[in-house]
Amino acid sequence: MSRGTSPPGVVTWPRRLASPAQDRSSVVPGTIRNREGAIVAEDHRNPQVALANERTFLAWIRTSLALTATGAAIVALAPPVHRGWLLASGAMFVVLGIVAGAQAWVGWRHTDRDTRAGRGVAPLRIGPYLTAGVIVATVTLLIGAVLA
Amino acid sequence: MTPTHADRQADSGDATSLTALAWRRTALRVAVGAVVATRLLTNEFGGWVVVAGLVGVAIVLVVHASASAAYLRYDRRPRRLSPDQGMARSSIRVAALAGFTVAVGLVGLAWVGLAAAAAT
Repeated sequence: MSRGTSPPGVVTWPRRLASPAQDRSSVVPGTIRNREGAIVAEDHRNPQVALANERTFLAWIRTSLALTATGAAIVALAPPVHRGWLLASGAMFVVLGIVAGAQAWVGWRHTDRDTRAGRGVAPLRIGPYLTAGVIVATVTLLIGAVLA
Repeated sequence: MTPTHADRQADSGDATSLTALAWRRTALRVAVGAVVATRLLTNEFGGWVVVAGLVGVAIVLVVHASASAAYLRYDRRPRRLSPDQGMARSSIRVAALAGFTVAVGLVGLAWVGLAAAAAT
């Protein structure tokens, strides 16, 4: 197969790479080159996967911000809820936000490493725990509302 | 229906645009969060919160500009994903944004802790 032609199912990166006018000396698929042009590593990533990995990271960051803001808002707005339960719920949401922020970086790093090595993406292990945490924090708030 | 080669190229471009927009959207949201947190925490923690907030906003703006520049460069001068792209290197952006987001969370937790201490 000559360079510049893509077999079915292969995404060319970036979109103008297939142009015959481009110099392809530094864009041989499957290699990472340094500034001098020497091959420094094999890169098995599909560009679509790399971009999707970044978007997943950003979605986790937005989730983290939303959870942190929820926790802070619960405490700042002080709804008619028993104070202790209110603070516990707010703290749980903020902690979940911190965990989501950490997961954003860890998940991006692991996926980036695995896809570079040509391995499959590991399943999301923290998802069920985060869901359970949100449920517990919400139930805590509801209990406080009942006790108030 | 099987996608054509042109469809796949369009998808690749869409993915680049979507990712650039996601970076901008998230960076702006983090900046707004930093400003709100600064406003909320200034009374409790003093003036240094303003400095921290300004530093955070500056980091987020750099991340925003870096991401925009990186994807503009991809668009103008096609190249493969490179491990060395200066400030536009995605791992630096990822670490900066994640670090600042976690820092905002930790400050928020400290604020909730202060509220709890004041309540007792």
